Amino acid sequence: MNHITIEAKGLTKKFGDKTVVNKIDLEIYKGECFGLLGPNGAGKSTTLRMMYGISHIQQGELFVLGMNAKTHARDVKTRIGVVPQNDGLDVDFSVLDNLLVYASYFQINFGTALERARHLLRIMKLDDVWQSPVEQLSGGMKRRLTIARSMINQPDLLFLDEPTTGLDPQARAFIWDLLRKFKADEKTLVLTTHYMEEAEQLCDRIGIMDRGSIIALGTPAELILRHAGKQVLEIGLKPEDIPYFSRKLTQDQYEFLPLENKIMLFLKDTNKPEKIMNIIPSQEIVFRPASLNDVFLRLAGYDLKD
Amino acid sequence: MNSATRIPTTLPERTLPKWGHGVKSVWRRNFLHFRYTFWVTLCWIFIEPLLFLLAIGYGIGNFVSDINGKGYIDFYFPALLTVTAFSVPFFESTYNYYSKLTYQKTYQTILMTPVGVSEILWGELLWGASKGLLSCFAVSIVARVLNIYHSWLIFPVFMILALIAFLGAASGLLFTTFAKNYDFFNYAISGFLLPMTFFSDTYFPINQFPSALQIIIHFFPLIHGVKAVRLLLDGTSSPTLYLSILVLLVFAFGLTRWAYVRFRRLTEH
Repeated sequence: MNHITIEAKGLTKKFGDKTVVNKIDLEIYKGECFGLLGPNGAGKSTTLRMMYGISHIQQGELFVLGMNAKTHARDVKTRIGVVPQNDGLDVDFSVLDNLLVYASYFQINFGTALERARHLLRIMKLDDVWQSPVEQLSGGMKRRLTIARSMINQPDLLFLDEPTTGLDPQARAFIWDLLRKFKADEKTLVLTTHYMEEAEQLCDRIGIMDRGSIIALGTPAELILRHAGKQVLEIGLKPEDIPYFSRKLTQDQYEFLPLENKIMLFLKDTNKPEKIMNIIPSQEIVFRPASLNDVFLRLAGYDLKD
Repeated sequence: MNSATRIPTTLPERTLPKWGHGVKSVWRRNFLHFRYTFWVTLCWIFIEPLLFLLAIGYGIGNFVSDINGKGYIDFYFPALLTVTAFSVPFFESTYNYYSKLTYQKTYQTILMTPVGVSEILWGELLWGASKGLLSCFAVSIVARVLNIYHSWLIFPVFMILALIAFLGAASGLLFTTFAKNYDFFNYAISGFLLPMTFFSDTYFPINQFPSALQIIIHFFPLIHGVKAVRLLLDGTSSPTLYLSILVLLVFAFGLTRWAYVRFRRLTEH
């Protein structure tokens, strides 16, 4: 049992009549990076917020670090770090004071807090701006400061709600690197993201959420193999021709997904690409390995890149 | 209590918010921020009472022969102390705390840490009260220099001022929990704070008004504060003094509890 960090059973959340999180069952293991993927409004953030103890748990069970999150939220909070979607930095304070003030909420004494804050600012490459008001920081710097803040209490478990949304590629790569180092310390990471690349880069396991439920769960490779196969053929077509070719493919029992101006065909080992090209005469054919995005398209019918 | 249908099981079972380590952290956060503007604030809290005492105490007071056998300045000074004690925290816990509740998301961030809603509430109320007391301290120094009072009774008066300052913070916070935008505070100030400071036996005795108004004003906290401070500063230990203190305590209890229930509803999701 010791290796389970988070365990949810029948976790449910409603806002009025709307069910935002619907009977989620989930286990997250110690030392892994777990990613919740899904479109906006799928319930990722709400699920995360229940886990880090800021959203009231209406139904179901939730144990975090072996403690009941319903009754011991405060004890849970002493041992976790949180990077919320909106950084929530204290605009009344400078960079360093943001860390020190936050540390005081954990009853960390001033000397220790200062030592840790300096160390974190160095790692996050923020030591040059320690005196600046947070309002003056760039988006990437704010994010790094928020991550530094989440580590001030040396947490065993870190929650990150869309850690790199809105950041440029360099800032994103820097944060990915940091999170990998954090994970290497036997710590657990739980994050939400819209970015397939982020999920593939960082996550050991992924849960895909849609409309409040987890519709698929596994390692990226497992999910791709299970739901999209090994390879995908993208066949560009005129929209008016798509129903006709869809019928033909259905007759021959192919697995495919008709989109607006193309058909995506998920190839099994037994399928031969040449055969398909005989069925559909198209000039625009792309043959590529299957990806997480295909999984998502098949399961939820949305393109996550949107 | 009708909120029970909206948020089950989260209504506070306790009558008052719980105390904890976090109270100190929340108070200290405000103190650290206050230090950024300390010297500017310090100037103003001395200049303001000086202006009031000169313009109203001596300026207008010059045209008033005496009130209940006292000089006008002696009548006005306890009221100035009380109004300062109440309104400084009131301003703090309306505009500032509303920003923290909404745009700055300060409370949301604190709630990610082990500090709970109750501790935020206590920390904020006590901070507001502290600012009120600091201002009262400045008022009493200015008044001492102007030789307005010369009694050691100013020290016990500060105990009552602390209670009044706490009430000012709690009233302001309660308004904040009803606010939808900053304009709302126009009502809080023009509709509540200003009329109350005018009619609470502050600038003139209330007994020259119709008895209906005299009764109504007693449903508001400030007049009880003015009475208590005035009586204690005079060295009169009458039942009215104790009754006024009791009423202030009841107000403090009721408003804190009400503000807590509403504040909790706003910060928990």
